[in-house]
Amino acid sequence: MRTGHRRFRIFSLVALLSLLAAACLGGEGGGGTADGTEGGGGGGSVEIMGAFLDDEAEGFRTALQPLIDEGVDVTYSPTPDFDTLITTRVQGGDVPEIALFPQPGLLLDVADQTDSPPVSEYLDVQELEDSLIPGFLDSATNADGDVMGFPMRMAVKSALWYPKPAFEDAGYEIPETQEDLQALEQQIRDDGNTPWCLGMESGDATGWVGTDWVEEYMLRLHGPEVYDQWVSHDVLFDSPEGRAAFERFGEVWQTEGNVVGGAQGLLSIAADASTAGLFEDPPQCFLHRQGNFATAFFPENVQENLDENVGVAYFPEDTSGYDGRPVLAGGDLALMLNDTPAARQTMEFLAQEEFGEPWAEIGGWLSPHTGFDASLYPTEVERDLFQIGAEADVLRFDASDLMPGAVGAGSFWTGIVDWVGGQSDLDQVLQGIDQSWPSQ
Amino acid sequence: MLKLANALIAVVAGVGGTVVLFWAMNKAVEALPEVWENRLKPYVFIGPALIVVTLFLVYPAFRTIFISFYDDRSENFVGVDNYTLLFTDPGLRMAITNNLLWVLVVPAACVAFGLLVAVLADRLTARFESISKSLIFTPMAVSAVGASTIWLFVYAWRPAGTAQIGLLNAIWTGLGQEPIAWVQVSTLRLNSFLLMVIMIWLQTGFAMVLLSSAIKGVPTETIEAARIDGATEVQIFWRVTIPQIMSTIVVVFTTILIAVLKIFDIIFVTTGGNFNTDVVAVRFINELFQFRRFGLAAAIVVVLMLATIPVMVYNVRQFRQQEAR
Repeated sequence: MRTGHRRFRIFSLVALLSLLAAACLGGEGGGGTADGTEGGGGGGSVEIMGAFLDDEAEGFRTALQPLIDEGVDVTYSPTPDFDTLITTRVQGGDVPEIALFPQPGLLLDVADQTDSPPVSEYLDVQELEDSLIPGFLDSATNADGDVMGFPMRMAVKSALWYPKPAFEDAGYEIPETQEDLQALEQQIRDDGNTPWCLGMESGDATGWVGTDWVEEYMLRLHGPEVYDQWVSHDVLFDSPEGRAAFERFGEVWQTEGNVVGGAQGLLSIAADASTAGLFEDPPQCFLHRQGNFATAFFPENVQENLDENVGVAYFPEDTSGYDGRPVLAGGDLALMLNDTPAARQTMEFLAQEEFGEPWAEIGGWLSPHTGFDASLYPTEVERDLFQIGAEADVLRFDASDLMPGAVGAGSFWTGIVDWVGGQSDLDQVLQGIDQSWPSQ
Repeated sequence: MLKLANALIAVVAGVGGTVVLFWAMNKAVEALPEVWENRLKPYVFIGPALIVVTLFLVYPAFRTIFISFYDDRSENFVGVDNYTLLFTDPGLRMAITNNLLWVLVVPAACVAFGLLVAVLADRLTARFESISKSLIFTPMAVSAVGASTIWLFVYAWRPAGTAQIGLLNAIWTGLGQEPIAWVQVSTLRLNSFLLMVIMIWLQTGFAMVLLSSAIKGVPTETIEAARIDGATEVQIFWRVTIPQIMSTIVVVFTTILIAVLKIFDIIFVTTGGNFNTDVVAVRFINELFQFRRFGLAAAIVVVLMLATIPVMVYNVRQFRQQEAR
């Protein structure tokens, strides 16, 4: 009995260790495949690292073809774990020549940690600024005023989606101002319909949709300067300005019958699934506010025939607020980490107004340059989305991506959730977010 | 496909390699004089395990304690700031309170239900006993993530007027009420209790199996003696059976208690810690990966570790005592 016991123990020990060994080996296998996609270093080769994958990566590679034809050995290595991987590679001293950052905060951090040269050392910054949508370069400008990177792709967030056929049949008009929008909501409610499809459920990221709404109002009501101060916490969340932005978002979901499912719906319906209501017959709702990436959330039959099924307009400006046409956006920003002649040539290529023409024709990419030839986009929807960006007087990056993680991916999200869910009132939420701002 | 082949090779090579390693080391030791063979042999087998545990468990534990006294990026020493924040931050206080609530409810409920099923099943015919016990035990085979997903469907909410796919709301609306998003209702901590149901559903089977075998181990003489002395069934249960299975109850209770202290997956999958359901382990993941506050994250696990260790020591001691009998 006793020896049997011991034999069993030895056996379990052996089994445990073999599992551990297997786990280690498994890890090595994974690393091997990752290596396979990396380009060979040295010489005139350029490795570009980025966060967009699959079709988008293919589109980018197509767009790089002219450069490759010129003899630059450039490879694109995408990774779904961009933030972690670039941090690790910077710490390990093994940086790619160029990295494309979805978040400007991380770009400036990495630029600070490495000796990346400012853009002015290899490009005419003024010319670049004139060509880009106004305000885009601000996001990649560090505290000393040096522009460290520039966008090579735009994501437009200020987009108002509507189901084209049903919307037109009902005789609704695209709103030009926030006042028009409120009148339209009233009209839709009077017709016995629900204006908005608005879902925020997104697993542990629930709330991000709400932060986008608050940011839209922050920008529209108070303009880019106050917006920037809000991002740097010089204007508090619990300030008249911050409160006003929250309250405007509150009007949207608190008004009876304005949102499908009300407050419970906001927190229960998944952000991507919430678009489906637009395309039901009859539609559950007539309006949806979401970035250009929303097209990927649409039902498949809608995606196949985008232009016939869906229309997109600018999420309107507020005439009583900031005097202008601001747009909330995102994008991928290029940073040169390793200053080689080939890398400079690649950066020059990426900064051109014409960059991405073949990619635009494939679809799924928007140029950050106002002068880009919009006729290249394959769908009306993409042309409209591009125009929303190109016609803006000022562009601002998604604030939650710029704020410290504890706020931008933490208390701002959870604050919105607590507010909508009724766990906290607006005072508690605003004060709570301010308190959570890191002091260091 | 490639991944599958990779995994297969890794498992075969890993298991095979380890067997070869142990076999070779064993042979090497056996070649030594007998005195030395006997002296060294235990270390040959325990050594690799010790090295692995030290490398992957002990060292990181000390490193974590060290980091918990440093700032977000582990660069500057900040003393006990992280620990102060841990007990003053409202969000973290909420998480700690919820953990306490889980600790109070779940182990007790699992033991109570497990005991109830074990006692009742004991009175069924052998066939029905095994059927009913198998049914109760089945959830043990489901992962916590799977169970949470299943229960999310039970608690699912759909807008009023559309078909309710959630069992609870289907019943609720059947009674003529408006559908309720159950996991969002934090009044009286209702949602936390609903999530605890998932854990209890998962763990009752475990409690039942151990308690059932303990009950079967109670000598029938003691029960018969009590019966002859005129004790009622209830008295027999409380005064004869329970005292004799107490050590098993304690082991089951503490084992579940340890699992509950570290509870993570259920909350992460269902609410992500929103709606006042946050617990310490979820908060830790968020602090580490979302907010990147390494110092605070380390402080959280250190506190969690300190809370778990006494329970574990007690648990192991009890288990040994029980084995020694």
